[in-house]
Amino acid sequence: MEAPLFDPAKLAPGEAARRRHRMLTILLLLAGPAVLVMADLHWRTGFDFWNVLHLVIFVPLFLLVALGAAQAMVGFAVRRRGGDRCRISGSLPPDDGEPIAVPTAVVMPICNEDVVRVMEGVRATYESLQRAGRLTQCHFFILSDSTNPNCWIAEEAAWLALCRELGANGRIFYRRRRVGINKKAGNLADFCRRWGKLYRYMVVLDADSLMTGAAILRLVRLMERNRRVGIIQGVPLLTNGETILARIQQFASRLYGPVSAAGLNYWQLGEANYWGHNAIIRLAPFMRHCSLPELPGDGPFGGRILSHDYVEAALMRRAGWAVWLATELEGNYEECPATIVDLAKRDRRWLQGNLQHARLVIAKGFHGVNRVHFILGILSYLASPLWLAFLVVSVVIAARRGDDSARLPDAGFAVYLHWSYAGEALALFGYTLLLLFLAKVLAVADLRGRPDDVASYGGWRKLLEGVGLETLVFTLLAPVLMLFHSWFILLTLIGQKVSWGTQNRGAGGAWLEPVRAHAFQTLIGLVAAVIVYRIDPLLAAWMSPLLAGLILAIPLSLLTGSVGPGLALRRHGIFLTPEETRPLPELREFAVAIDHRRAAPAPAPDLAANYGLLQAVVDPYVNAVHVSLLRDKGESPPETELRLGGLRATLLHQGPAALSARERMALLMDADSMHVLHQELWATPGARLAAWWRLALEHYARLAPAPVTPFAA
Amino acid sequence: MVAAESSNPFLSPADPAWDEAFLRVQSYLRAYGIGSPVLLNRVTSEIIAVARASMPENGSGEPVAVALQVTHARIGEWFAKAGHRIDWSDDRDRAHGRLAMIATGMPGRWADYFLSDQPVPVDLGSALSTFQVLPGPELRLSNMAPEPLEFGFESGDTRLPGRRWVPVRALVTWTLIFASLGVTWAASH
Repeated sequence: MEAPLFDPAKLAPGEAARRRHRMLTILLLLAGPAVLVMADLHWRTGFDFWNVLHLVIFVPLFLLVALGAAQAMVGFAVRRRGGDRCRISGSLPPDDGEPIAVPTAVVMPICNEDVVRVMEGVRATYESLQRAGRLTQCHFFILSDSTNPNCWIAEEAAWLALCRELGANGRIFYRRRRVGINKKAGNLADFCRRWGKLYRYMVVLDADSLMTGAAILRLVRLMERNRRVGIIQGVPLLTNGETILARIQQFASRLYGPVSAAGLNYWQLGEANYWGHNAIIRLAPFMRHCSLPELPGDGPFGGRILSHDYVEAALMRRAGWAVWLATELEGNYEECPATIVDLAKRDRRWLQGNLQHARLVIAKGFHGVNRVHFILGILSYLASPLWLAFLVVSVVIAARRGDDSARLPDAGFAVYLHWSYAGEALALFGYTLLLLFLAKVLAVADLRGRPDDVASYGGWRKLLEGVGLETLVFTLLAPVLMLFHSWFILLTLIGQKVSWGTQNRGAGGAWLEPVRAHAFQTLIGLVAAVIVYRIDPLLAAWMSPLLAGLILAIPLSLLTGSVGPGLALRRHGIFLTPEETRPLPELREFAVAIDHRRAAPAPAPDLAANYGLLQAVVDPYVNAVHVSLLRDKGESPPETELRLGGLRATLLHQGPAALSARERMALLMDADSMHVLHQELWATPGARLAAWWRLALEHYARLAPAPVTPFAA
Repeated sequence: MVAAESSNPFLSPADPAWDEAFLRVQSYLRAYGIGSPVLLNRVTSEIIAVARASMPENGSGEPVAVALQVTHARIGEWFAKAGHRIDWSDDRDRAHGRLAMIATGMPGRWADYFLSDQPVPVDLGSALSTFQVLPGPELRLSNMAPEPLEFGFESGDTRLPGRRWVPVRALVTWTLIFASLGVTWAASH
């Protein structure tokens, strides 16, 4: 007899509360004894200001460690029992194969992203959906906020080429905002205001997302089935990593993710979170209830909400709509930062947004679980300065205590457990490590009895080698990220703004950026090593993994951000994931297409900086596409025309370097100017054009320049 | 004889300005995607010949500018032949025509027909006339008013299942945990 389908609307009263209480109980059982032992250690040496401070910092840090362990334990138990009966994917009946005539928009907000990656992601998703062939009313939207002219112009041309190649005119749309108000949230809100009424659902993709048609169909069917669900968030798998860091992240998230996600779903249920992409949203309630307000005041905690996703989930839930996590949605992918510096850039952006949520923890009407999401989001970054403070206070305590610990009498727990002071400290350290690594151990244990899955990671041996190497690398990276986060929090608190930078998800970067980014950390590592060694060589030995991570930050960053070693590890079967060993057709085709597109020659170095402008002016087709997408401005005041005329003349006769970025942008945004520039450039003799334009025109010349020989006049 | 010489660029005396005009027109047409060197050279030569012939009428015009004018006229004629009437002297219409060409895939699929003497294929003609580039569906504007936020602790709604109060069993469990930790501490210290 088949198990009945899960119906979230008929979730047993109290089920969610029971699960959350159980989680909290496990958390207390795991953390309580550790806190007690830490208190006992301090009691033995005598409580003073530093000891109390140490204990106060220890409590939230250990609670976070215990929460990860508790979640993994619950997730493991749930999966070993055949999966959670309360999961949204369990609400779907067998697929009847019928067409689904539900107006759905697949939207991809982008901002100065790798255009090739964006378009190939859209292509792969679109083609997969076409092959699935059942979602008959689905449109794609590329929603650009790009401010870099090179990206902007490339996006326009690539969009039209994509439409033409796929025969998707009228099904794949492109819109660029003139002013990128409120960043990504504003970009999506703008889509909703223009076209939101036309669609029932919105599938949100990130610039590095890829979803199969089957995954999108499944999400739509889940929403159709569960009419009180406002958002379903998929758990995207990381793919296409080439550097060591990217491959480690995708390996770790693939291996440990399912157990952790099962644990998350266990206590979140219909109060899950929205992560901003790879999710489906019911548009009507989203438009009605999830428009973001501004937070009162200025500074880092006021103004526009930067991390919109958590808040939108909270608003959706506040309005009575459930938010679920689809833990077992296949064909749902994204990419990850390729280097430590890129990882830090992303965290810098997220960090300020998460800290801003401190205000929202006390906003009226939010569900308690949403408040917990806010708090955990804040703590995920606040943990770094707490850890730093914990380490500093530990060193201070060691320095003040000197060599007394060996002479401490047995007291407190030591009387019953016969622990020396060092033995007790070691036991606590061991317990902390056990909880820290429990998620990894349980995730590996979860593969027991599933030889096919083990084989997709390269077999047990390669898998365990991968786990070991990943643990080593992340142990060394942890103090580096700790210093980054602590520094970012300080910057945020003193009111430094965060720009919406674009991370490099693809390949390793130049060496200069990592050297600059980690130089100070290396110095801190060296100074700390000397200080700690002088205080207590044994303490230095204990802290050596942390100190080594800091001292080696630059070479570690360069090595983990390199493509060559990453691919070499792949050839040796380390950090393999099922997506690499058994890729779906969409991933295979995507990889081939990306390689093909990236093989195209790069623009000449002298032209590269303004290549978008070059193409929009010179190329007849790019120019046509560009002006067709510009808004008709109507009559302009004579002063404006005069100013634009001057800018055009300067551009043609002195080259783009003679204009500021703002002035170049003003020309690119003016359709009349782009018409005139195209016409005048081609019709002006070379002697009157800037050398830069003459070089640009050579791009289009059929004949190479005459060879220079000794006989040339 | 003079007229014949001026109408054929290969019979005219070399002139750097016309050389430049020739290369410019050739580059411009190449940018349109004409791949055949023979067609490219022939069309360019014809355009330059016409431009040179018309030069006296243009007074002090520059060869590059005149040649480009002739090129536009020639493209306009070809569009008319393809059944797509465009005022090729107007900037916007010209851009529209180029958009039609790229949207229909002309540079790849029908490149050899562009500006050639061959009859324009019916498919191409109709594709040029009926092309559409849709950057977005028709607007259906709606309002999205920001949700007001008030600050202060107050729990969420109860429209979804779930309880807002802590059951006695959970309270008892937690009390027991804290009590046992407390007793352990008190007994040992």
